Amino acid sequence: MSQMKTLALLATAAVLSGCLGATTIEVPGDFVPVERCEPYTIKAVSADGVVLAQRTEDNPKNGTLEFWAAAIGNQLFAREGYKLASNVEATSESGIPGRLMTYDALRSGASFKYLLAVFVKGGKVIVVEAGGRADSVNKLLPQIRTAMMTVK
Amino acid sequence: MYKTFIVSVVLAAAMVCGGCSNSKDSQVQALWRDKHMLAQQKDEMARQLSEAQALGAAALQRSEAARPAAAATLVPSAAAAARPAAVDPRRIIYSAQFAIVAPDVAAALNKAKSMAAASGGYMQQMTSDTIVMRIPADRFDPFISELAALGIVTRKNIEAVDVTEQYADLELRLRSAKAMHDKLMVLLDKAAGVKDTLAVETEIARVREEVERLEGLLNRLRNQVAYSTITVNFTAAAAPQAPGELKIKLPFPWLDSLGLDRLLES
Repeated sequence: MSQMKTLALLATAAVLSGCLGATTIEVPGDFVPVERCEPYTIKAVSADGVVLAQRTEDNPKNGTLEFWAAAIGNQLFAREGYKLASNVEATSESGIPGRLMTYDALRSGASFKYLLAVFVKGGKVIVVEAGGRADSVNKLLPQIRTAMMTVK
Repeated sequence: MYKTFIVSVVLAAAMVCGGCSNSKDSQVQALWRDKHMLAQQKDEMARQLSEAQALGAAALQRSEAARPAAAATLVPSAAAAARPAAVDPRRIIYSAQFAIVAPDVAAALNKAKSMAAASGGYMQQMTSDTIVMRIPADRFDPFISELAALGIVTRKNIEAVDVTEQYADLELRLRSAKAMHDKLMVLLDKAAGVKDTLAVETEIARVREEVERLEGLLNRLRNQVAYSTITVNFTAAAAPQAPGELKIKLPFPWLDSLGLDRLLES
């Protein structure tokens, strides 16, 4: 019985601290983490469907922040056709340098907004994404931006 | 010729004075005194004119890149006064060149033009894919940060050129030229005879031209310091392609899973 309790506690802890147990961003109060989140280390949703997620990828050859920002930008912009609304330098609360890109996109005739922050820390590339209907994202924009900068 | 003229004037003056005097000795003394005085005045005028000509020639010969040391040798006290004091700010010309990939080049050009105006600057030149903007120097840093919003920056080159010494040198040369001009104006009042007057007037014209040239150079330098030049070349982004048609693909599969569609999957 006590083994069951321990397992349950561990599972809850895993959900709260990220699917893979990695260090994650701090999820704002307007969002609830979801259990199944691969390939993200954490994924959370708001009541009106805005999604906030973080993923951490290997950076074995120590690609620079400029490289990854450009690679991601090319992927989204040149290949996927996202319209870049802004691309600014950003630094996490713990001092990790990064870039924050904002894109506008149309899905089924509706306006969507997609934010992506990329940080490079040692041998890892940390990417925090957020997106949803533009009006819903706009309402939560300050919380989303604050959460993105809690990358550790 | 001039000496003969002076001696004649002196002799005539002496003869006039001689009619008023009863003593032959006093006449001779007066004659020598007057002659000596006139000779001194002439020497002084010739020396001042020679100095002014030398000063003007030196100022003209020196190129725009004249060394401050040379200027200091020319007028040591003025050089010391003109040298930038320790509290003076550095005078730096900033410039930047960007290459940006944008979805709509025409729209990006117009946006850049509007951004320049909003920053207190202006568009200096624009072609179908390039814009040259002049931005107030104090808005340089924020402006180049804002440029990133126009697309993907693929090349960035920022340059700063310190022209403090060049600026100080130009100021010094201008001050020297103006001082020389004032001196020549005084000489012109003192000039006796057509020849002297013409010589001084020629020198004044030359110095005035030099003053105007230096003022022009200084104004151009001031403008370059006050406004940074930013050049942006835009390239149109490739149109979005359907999956499978892509010819270039980075060897990082996780990049493919970025984006709204994957993010919003439940």
